[in-house]
Order: sequence, then structure tokens, then C-alpha cells
Amino acid sequence: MIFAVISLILGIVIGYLCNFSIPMQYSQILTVLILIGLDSVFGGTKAILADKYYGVRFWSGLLLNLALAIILLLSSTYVAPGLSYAIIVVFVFRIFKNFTAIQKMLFKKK
Amino acid sequence: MLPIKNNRLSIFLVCFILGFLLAVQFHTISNRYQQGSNGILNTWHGKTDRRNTVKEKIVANTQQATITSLIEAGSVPVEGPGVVLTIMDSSRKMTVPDDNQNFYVVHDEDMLKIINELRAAGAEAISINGQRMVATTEIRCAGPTISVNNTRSAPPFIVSAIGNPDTLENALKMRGGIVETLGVWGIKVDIKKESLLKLPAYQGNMHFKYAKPLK
Repeated sequence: MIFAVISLILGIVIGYLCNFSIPMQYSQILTVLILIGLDSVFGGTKAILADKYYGVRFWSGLLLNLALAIILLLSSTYVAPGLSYAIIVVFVFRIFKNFTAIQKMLFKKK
Repeated sequence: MLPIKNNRLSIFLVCFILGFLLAVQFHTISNRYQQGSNGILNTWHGKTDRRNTVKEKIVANTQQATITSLIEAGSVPVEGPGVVLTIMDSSRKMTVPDDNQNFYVVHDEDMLKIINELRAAGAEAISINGQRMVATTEIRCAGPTISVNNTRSAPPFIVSAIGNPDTLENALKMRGGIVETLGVWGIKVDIKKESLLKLPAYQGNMHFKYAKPLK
């Protein structure tokens, strides 16, 4: 699991050096996508610890969530502004839920 | 620490991409802040530059207008290319015994016609025997002399005019022009072109008792 953090840091460093940026309008959408990715990472880690990991479930869950979020966000700028905040709330909630589950599994009373 | 397995790889890959996206987000936001501050700075510079340009233009225009007014009013000495005319009374003896002496001397009308011709040909500043012609200058006969700016002077009359020397000379010498007309009576107008002529300022005081600017 430590390696996950290491690869995260590695990604940050390389991205910083690449100096790649996107148009300002999409930065809010990017926030949501990052959170969805984090949620899938935490969910995947929990599944690994519970021996319930299934690669297809992991990737399909991630990509489908991303697709749904992108569709909702791109259409919401005119129809439902501020929708991104609601999506952020949902996924942060899921991250913390999975995180709690991971903690329970790691620090189990033997 | 858990051993590395295949399923771990997916997580690592996603983590790596996430890290990369975080850095992209960071660069985007910092660009936005920099662009914002640059934008404000550029707008400020643009406004300051525009204001300075307008100021300089106003100063230049005022200077130009002042110079023009000063030259026009005759309050400053001027220099430039032009012509110098020397006008002398006729030295011819009377052809007919009873002829009027007056036809052979230079009159104020003759002087006025010469000045008129010079002005029509674009003379920008004129002086007669050292007297600068201004808007209120008169040319009058006073016996054998001519009075300009209340100053009498006798022939030969030296008229200096600043303008295009060729144009001025041609205007005076044209057929049926003033030089020819005066020449009939033997009054000689000697024209000399100069590349640099200096004309004095108007010596008197300008004091307007009746004329006032319109508000």
C-alpha cells in the first residue's frame, strides 16, 4: 500500500516537471475526476485487503463513474450550475467510508 | 506491507495518473493567478501608456498652436527662406511737361498691392523697412514718405517676405502683375531671393480696447 503512495508522489513530481496545464474552465471538472479516481483507489485497496478484489470490477467502476460524472458536469454548466459541489461531497464521503473500512481491517484486534 | 501482486499494479497505475492530474491542476491554477495578475498589470500599463501618449499629444499640439499664434501675431522674430524687395521711386524724368509728379513716386496703394501679391503667393511674414507687418499694421502715405506701424520711412523701401522664394518671385513678376504695372512708371522693384531671411518682431504694444473674444 505504501507503493501506492509512492506512485502518487511520483506522478505529482513528474506532472510538476511537465508543466502541463488545461484551460481554466475545466479545472473544476478536473477536481471531480481526481476525487473519483481517489475513491476508486481506496475502494480497490479495501477490496484487496478483504480478498474480494476483482480487476474488472475495479476498472469498470472507475471508468463508468468517470463517464457519468463527465456527462453530468458538461451538461450541468447551463442546466444545474454548482452540480460539481454535490458530486464532490458524494465522492469525498465514499473516500472516507472506504478509508474507515481499511483502517478497521488493518488494525483488527487479533 | 503487502506483497506486490497483479491487482496492485492497477492501483499503482491509477495512483500515478492521479498524481499527474494533481500536478496539472496545480499548474492550471497557478497559471490562472499569474494570468490574472499579468492581465491587471498589462491593463494598467496599457492605460498609463495611453494616458502618456495623450498627454504628449496635447503638449505637442499646444506647442504647435502656440508657435503658430506667435508667428501670426508677430510677437517673435522669425527666420526662413523668402525674398527681399527693394522698391525705389522712379528716376525717370517726366515725359510730358505737365505730368503729375505723383505718378512717378511710390504710393501707399502701390505698397499695398505689392503686399497683397506677396500674401496671395503665400508669404507668411512680411516686414517693410524693418517694421513687421501684423494684423493691425497700416500703410499710409505721408508726403514723400510712407508710414508703417506709425513709423515713417523714405524710399528706397526694403520689403522682406518669408515664404517660398520661387512662388513669391513668380507672383510678382507675372505678366500684368504688379512689377510690370509699376514698371510702366519706371518704379523699380528689385527682387532678390534669399535662403535665410530674418524678420524682426513687431515692436509696438498690442492693446485691444474694443475687440473682445467671443465666449
